[in-house]
Amino acid sequence: MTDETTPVLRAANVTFGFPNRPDFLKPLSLDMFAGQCWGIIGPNGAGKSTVLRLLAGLWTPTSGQILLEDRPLGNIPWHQRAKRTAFLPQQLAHDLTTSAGDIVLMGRHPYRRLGLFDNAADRKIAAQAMKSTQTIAFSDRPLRTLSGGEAQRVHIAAALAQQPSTFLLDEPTASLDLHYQLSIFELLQRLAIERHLLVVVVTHDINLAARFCTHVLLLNDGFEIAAGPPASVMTPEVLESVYNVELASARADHDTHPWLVPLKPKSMPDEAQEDDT
Amino acid sequence: MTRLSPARYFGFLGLCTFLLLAVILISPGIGTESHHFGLFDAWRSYFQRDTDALAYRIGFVLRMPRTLLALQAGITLGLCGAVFQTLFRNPLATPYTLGVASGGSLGAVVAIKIGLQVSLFGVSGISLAAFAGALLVIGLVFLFTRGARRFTTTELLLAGVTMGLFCSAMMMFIQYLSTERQTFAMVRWMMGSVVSIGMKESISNLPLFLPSWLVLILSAKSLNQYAIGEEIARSRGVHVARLQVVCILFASLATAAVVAACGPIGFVGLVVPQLAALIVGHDCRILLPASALIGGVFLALCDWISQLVLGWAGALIDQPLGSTQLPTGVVTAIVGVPIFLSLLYRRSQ
Repeated sequence: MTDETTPVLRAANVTFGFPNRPDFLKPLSLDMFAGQCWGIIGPNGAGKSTVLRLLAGLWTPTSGQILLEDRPLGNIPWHQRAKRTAFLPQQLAHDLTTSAGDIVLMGRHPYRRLGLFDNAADRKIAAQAMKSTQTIAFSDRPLRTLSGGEAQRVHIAAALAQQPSTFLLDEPTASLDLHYQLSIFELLQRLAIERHLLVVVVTHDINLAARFCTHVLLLNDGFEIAAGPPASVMTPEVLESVYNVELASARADHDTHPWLVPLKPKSMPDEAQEDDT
Repeated sequence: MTRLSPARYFGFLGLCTFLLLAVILISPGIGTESHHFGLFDAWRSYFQRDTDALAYRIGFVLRMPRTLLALQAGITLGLCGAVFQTLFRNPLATPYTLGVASGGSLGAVVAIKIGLQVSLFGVSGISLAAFAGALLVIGLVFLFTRGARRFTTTELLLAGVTMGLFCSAMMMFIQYLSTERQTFAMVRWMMGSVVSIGMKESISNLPLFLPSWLVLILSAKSLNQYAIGEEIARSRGVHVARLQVVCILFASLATAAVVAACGPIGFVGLVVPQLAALIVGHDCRILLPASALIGGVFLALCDWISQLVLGWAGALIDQPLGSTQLPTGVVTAIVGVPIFLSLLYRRSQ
C-alpha cells in the first residue's frame, strides 16, 4: 500500500484557529512515515491536541491540507478513513459496564457497520489485538472493574482491532503509574517497529518521548519550534525556554538518552496562562 | 465474553415478543365492563364477523384497541428512554427530558381552558393541541441549541429542562385562572391515561411510530460507539452530529404522539430502560429492542391493573369505590418501583 518514500501522513502548510483565536496554529508542515513513532510535546496550550485532531481528520484545517497516503483527508469518506486511522482521545469512558472484549470488538465498527452480530473473523482479530496488549485475561470483565492502566490497554487493543496504518493517541499515559507508562510506550514502540505503523502520541512526559519516540514535534503557542529526532530537538536549552523551567540532565550508564529533571519554574514573563487546547 | 450471540439476542427478544403477543391475544377478555363473557366467546365472535355481538363490541371495539394503544405507547416510551439515556449519558434522562411532556401538557391545558371542541380525523382537540405544544417545544429547543456553533448535549439538556420549567409555570398560570371544573380536567389529563378508542384510531399513529422505532433501533451500533466517546465514535466513522439530530427528532416525534394520545404517562421512559439494562446489559443492539418490548408489555399490564384494581379493592371491603378505574399514570410507578428496586437489590448482592 505505502512504500517507504510516500509519507503516511503529510501536513502541508496547515493552519487552524478557534473563534476567539482565529490564527492559533501557525503554518505547519510535516512528513510522517510508516514505522516512525512521533511524540508531540510542548507546554499547556501549545496546540498538541489540536495538531493531533487535525491529523485524525476530526477537525478541518483553516488553510493547508492534510494528506493521508497521498489523498487529501477531506476527500476520504469517513468510514474509509476509519479503516486507516485510529484515534484515542484523552477522555474515554471508563465506567462502562460493557465487557473489555466487547469494547475491543467495537473497534471493528468501520468494517461492519451493518451486520448485527460480530463474525468469527472479527472475533479473531479482536482476540489477537487483546493478546498483543496483554488484555485477553480480562476480556470478560466489565470495563468499569478494570484499573486505569488495564482500561487504557483495552482501548488501545480496540484501536488495534481497527487495523489502522496510523495510530494517534492523546496523552495515553496521563493518569497512569510508572509501570503502565513504560509498558504503554514500549507497546507503542513495538507497534511502530514490528507492525510498521505510524504512531503519533501527544505526551507531557519529555523523558518518555525522548526514549521511545523516533521523532519529536515540539510546539509552543501554536508554533512549531522544532521537529526531528529527539536528540536534535530536545536539547536542555530549547526545552528550558519553551517550558519555562530550569532543567538538570542526568544520564544513567545504560541509557542512550539523557534524563531531564525539572528543578524549578522560571519566573513567567507574562502571567497569562492558556488552557490546554 | 458478554458478546452478543444470536442465541441470546433471539432468545430474549423472542420471549418478550411472545409475551407481547400473549397480551394482545387475551386483551379482549380484560376490562372493567361488567358484562361477563369468556375470552373464547370474544375471539369466536371475531372470527365469525359477528360485529353485533356484545363480546365483539366490548372485546374488539373497546378493550383490544385500548391495549394496542398501551402497547404502542409503552414501546415508544421504553425505546426513547433507552435512546435518551445513552445519548445524554445520563441514567436520569427520559423521553420527556427535552420538554416534550411539558409542552404537550401546556397545549392540552390551553385547549381545556378555551374549550377547544374541534377534532380532526377523529383525533380530539385536546390531543391535537398537546401534539402541537410538544412539537413547538422541541422546535424551540432545537432552535436555541442549533444557534450555537457546536451542538453539545449539555446545552440541549439545559434548554430542554428550562423550556419544561417555563411550560410548567405557564400551566400553573392558566390553572390559576381556570374554573374548578377546568382545573379538574387538566389535572386528570396530566396524570396520563390510556383511553378506549376505536380500532382504527388505535393504530392511526403507527405511520408515525413505525419509522421512528425502526430508525432508533437501527442506530444501535452507532449509539454503542457514541457511548464509548464522542470523538472515538467520529474517528470510527460515525457521523455523530447526524446521529444526535436524527435520534432526538424521531424519539421526540414519537414521544409527542404518545403524550398527545395518552397524556404524560410517567415512569415507563425512566425505569424500563434501566430495568432492561439490568437484564440484558448496556449493548444498544439488544438494549433498545428489549426496552421497547418490556415497555410495551409493562404499560399494557399496568393499564389492566388500573382498570381492575378499584374493582378488587371494592370487593375486598365490600362496597363499591367511587370511580371504576385509575389513571394509568398512577399505576405505572406504584407497580414499577417495587419491581425495579428488588431487581436493583438483587443485582447489588
